[in-house]
Amino acid sequence: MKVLRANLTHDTATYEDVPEPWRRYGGRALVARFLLDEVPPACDPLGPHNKLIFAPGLLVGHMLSSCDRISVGGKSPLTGGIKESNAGGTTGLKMVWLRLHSLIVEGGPPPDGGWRLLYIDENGARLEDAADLVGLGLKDTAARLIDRYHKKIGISAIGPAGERLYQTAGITHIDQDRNLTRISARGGLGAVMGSKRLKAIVFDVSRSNRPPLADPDAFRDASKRYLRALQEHPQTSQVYTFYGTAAMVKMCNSLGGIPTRNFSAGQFEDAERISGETIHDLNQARGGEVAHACMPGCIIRCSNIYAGPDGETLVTPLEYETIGLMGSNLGINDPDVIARLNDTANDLGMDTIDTGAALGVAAEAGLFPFGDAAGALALMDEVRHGTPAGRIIAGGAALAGKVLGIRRVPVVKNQAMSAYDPRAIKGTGVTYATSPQGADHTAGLTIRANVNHIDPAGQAALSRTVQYNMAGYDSLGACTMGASAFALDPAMVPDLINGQYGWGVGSGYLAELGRETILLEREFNRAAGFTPADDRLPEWMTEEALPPLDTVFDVPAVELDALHDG
Amino acid sequence: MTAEGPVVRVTVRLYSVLRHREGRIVDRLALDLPPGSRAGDVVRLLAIDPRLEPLLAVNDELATEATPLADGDRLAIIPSVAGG
Repeated sequence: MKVLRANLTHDTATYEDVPEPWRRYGGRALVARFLLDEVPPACDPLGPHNKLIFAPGLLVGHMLSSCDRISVGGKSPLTGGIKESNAGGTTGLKMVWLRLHSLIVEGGPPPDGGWRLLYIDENGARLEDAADLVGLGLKDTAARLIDRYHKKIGISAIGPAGERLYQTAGITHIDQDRNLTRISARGGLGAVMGSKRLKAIVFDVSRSNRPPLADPDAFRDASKRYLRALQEHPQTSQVYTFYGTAAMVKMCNSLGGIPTRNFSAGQFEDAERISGETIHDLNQARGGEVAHACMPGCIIRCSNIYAGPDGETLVTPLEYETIGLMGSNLGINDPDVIARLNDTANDLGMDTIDTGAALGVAAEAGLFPFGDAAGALALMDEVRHGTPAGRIIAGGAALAGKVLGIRRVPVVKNQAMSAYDPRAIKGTGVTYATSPQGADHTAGLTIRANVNHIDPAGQAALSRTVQYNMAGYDSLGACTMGASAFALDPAMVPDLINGQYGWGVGSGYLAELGRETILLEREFNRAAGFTPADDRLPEWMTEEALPPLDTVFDVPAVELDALHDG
Repeated sequence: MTAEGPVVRVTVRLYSVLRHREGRIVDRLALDLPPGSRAGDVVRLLAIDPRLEPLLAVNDELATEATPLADGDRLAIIPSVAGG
């Protein structure tokens, strides 16, 4: 395995040996180690000293179900701190098949000020001119690159949002069905890539080239146990397959925690109209795909391809966080409208969570009425065209609140909350507050836990456990959907790691890896200027009761401060 | 379903995979239950897989298996999911 370093300032792409301290890291853990080793914490996130890293998780490369995720990391222009954002698609798999431990993108812009494409195949890597791709949405970018190379390439790219340095810009990865829609969405990493004037990366490897195994029999045995657990568990074999993450709409609404009209309520009167059940039935009747794999080899297939009334694809995928932030949060009850908002964000290469939260703030400020589909779509059109109003939305919810004079802004560390109001799901509120990543739906959701979610007692300990586990999974390249299978057998993860690498890790490996990762991330954030004051929910959430449960966020600050130091 | 003697009639709303019954989609069931029945009795009557860890709500209020059911109540049974 090698590290590939693309330096945009020097227009070079060179291979290096993997540094010894990085060998046992992948995914999110590698992002943290890398940033501490190579990125000055106080640097300008959009300047030449910030770097991006593409880091496949430790288990990536075998097409093991739900375990081929790619982590992208760098200093976030949105939060000013560390950012890791992971996604499905084929980038992780193709990188490992190209024997890339990681890919670093640094420097920039190029000496001629132009845009570049990084092309990688088994013979090497080179930076090419990308002038013809500039300004293209991601659908056209994918079509042009597939036409130029072939239909089996992997692609990671930015859309116009990244080119324009929008703080909601992500980096999007193609899936095996040539949809360029699997996005490392959070924290504005697309703007970092745009600041270096790198439009796209092409991974050209078609044949399977799985990494060697230290103990093939042990790996195969653990893989079989894992697959059997996925196939036998009704959640991974049925609920997620048929309803995907949209099944959360009814659950979160019942718990009083679905964001509604800019987080002013926790239950949406039209939740049934945007529920997983409604979307499943509509999509099935229209001939869409209710079960779609975002990664090759995934047997859960929690994603979907959502069809419009004419049977043509409206968006892929349509998932819970977007339904919450671009649906109930805007008072919008039409799945087709949510899908159109989502599709625009996808094509521009934007985070639907922060964009949806910014639209909610804009609605509260009176830019359009809640529930006004045409108004929301018109504002998204301004985002597409880069008008001043559109750029306010594209700057994310925190920026929109400042510009528009709105105090009810659902952010932590400037990053928008996902579709769980932390006053009703308090463990998730603890995660939002204390994760080094800012408010983030992948950092440790607690809604599944069998606890009283509005009782502040015990939420900090619950959040800590989930945060460690999630940071561990994100370092393995494992999707949270597979976690229910891993949780059934604590030996499964260590057995897979030992089968692949022969490291002899023990039963506590996952949580230890996660804890170590979070402590590294906190070290970076401290050096970047973060203090305990940054580990708080917005003050209004501690004062303004959320209807209908009439509850505020009341986990004591002392518990937040002690969470990662205990 | 019917029961001998006095009954409470409950409307059960099924979500996600619980709607898939005998090859078709069934969103609602009307059940006649013995007086004194609780939400957990319906969960057991419908043989719901405990691994789905269903969330229960009676008349849109969160409930537990011990929540008593009265005539005309609406019971929602929602399989748990982990996140988006």
